[in-house]
Amino acid sequence: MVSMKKVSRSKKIDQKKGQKTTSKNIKGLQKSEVSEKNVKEPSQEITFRIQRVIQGKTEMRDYKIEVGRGDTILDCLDKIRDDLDPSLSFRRNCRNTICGSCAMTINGRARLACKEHALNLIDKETTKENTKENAKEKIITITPMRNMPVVKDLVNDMTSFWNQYKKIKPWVDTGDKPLPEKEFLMSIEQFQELEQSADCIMCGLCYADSNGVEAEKEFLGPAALARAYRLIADPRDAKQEERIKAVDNKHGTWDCMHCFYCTEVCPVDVDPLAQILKIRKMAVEKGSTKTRGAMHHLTFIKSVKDSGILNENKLPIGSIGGIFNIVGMFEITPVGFRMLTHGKMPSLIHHKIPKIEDVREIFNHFKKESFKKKDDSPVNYQ
Amino acid sequence: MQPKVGDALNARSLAMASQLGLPLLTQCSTCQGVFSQVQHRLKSNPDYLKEINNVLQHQGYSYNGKTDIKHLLWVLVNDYGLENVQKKIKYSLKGTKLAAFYGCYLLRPSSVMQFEKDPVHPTSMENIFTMLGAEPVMYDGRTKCCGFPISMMDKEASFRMAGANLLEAKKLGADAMVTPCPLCHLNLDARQPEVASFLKEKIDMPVLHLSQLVGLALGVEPKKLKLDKHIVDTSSFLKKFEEGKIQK
Repeated sequence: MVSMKKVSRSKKIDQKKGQKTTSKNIKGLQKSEVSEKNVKEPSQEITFRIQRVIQGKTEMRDYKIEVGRGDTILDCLDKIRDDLDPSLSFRRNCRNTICGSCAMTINGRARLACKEHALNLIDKETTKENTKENAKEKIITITPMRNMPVVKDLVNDMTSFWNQYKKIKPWVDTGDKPLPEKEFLMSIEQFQELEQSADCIMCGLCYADSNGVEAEKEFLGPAALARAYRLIADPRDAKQEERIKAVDNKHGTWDCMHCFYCTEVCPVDVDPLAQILKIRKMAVEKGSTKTRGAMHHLTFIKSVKDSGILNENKLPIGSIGGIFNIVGMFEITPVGFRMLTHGKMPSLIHHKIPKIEDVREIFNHFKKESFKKKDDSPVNYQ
Repeated sequence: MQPKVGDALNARSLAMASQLGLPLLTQCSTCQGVFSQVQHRLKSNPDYLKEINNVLQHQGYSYNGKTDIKHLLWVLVNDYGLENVQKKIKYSLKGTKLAAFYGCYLLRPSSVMQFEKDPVHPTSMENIFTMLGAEPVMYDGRTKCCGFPISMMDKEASFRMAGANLLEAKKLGADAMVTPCPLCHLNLDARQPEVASFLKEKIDMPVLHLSQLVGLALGVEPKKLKLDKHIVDTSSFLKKFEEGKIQK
């Protein structure tokens, strides 16, 4: 697993380098080394519509440049700054999807400028700028990241991202664990469990496009929660229980809307949503029953187990903890009443599906495989 | 719940469709997304598929990973074909401006949900609108979350999300929103009065199911389509539809 993943990433980088080589140093290569397509493909004139902050005023400005196959958005931004407008501001450093500095919104989605090839976006993306009336002009739109204030042009103030990140105490805490003489060792299985979340480069893309963050600024956000899981799964860390408890609340894991944007925009496949769901599951399996999320989750499961189908009338009541939660009842009654008066209330008689015993058998079959306690036993490789 | 329980329960439903030799039609972005994800997990891991089938076979089912699972939107666009839908249209929706609301699960994760050519900027809903004679409203919110998944956990955040999408569509002149996802519909329509009062904004945005919109163009009576059952009054949209409707 580990090696396959690493291979695939280095392969991706090699491919990228390969593409760049063909576009930049074409004369120095033997013809056989370069694909026919790349040799024949002329550069194209692309309009970069970039959000600028000029004398405190935000506006969109167009820059037309020639773009070759393999030029990344970052190459293009460099070219615009070098040749057309030295006042254009953006962050960049490694140029290779490692540092995470060049995070911005490209064609409406949070991405790293060094990872995207401009002509690929032109070929594949059906933005409103590239349809119908604008078809004559090839446009790529670049704006700063969302969900964070803008300092200038494409540079964001990432303070809120870092503040949320700090809240989960993003370091390994060995607590009272006896320290080994040299270093802690972990098994391959233990490493594999945390490897995906440990790949985070803290670029902020997931935070920028997270719908949860957009709706609630107190939400910890995908990167911080993925980091929390990385530490929860770390056999060296002694604070598993505390860490789960610290994020098992409204603005922790339960503000996540499952919008999948974090997973979609992550440039290094951390899949933050998957890590968030793992923490939620651990919290419930460790006995969390009081959060709205846990109550919703448990009511849902009970309903499916009892009848094989969701009881839509019971779900909201179960999610608030029962009819004696007066505040909760005030919260759900208006929508219930509206549904009733518009003839949309599900039937009060809830039937079981045929062969409900099959459903229960499935539940019982997998029950045995409940959450394993973190394996933090010492590893002996000798 | 173990993800395996959920996967096995869904595989059981898929196996039932497979036993009938039929594709599975969904009319909900979330159902489509969940089924597609389960299918993807099982297809890409034969050992896992075998493990799940060990339980199902006991009950007389076997899932081969091959059941076709299709959303109504996909069937209209690809299988039936927009040209064929067009031939059956009775009334054009000319003069109406419509805002699509896709629902997260129909688009993401794009590694699994591969229907749209460009998952970042989907076009299938807008293509239907154009084919029916309506003008699509292009806005950021059309691919975002409706806020439904956290409506029980954080009502305020859920309302802010729904409100932002509704108001953005309204600002751009949409006469109605159209969604292929009943869960989005629930948050955008059934909770809209609360969203509006929470945000202290007037919204009044009718929200239609995709099937209802196509039904109108096909000549089905609004009442038969239950357009009078929505929480937000749809009559402003229907008035526009009546004004501009041209018999084809």
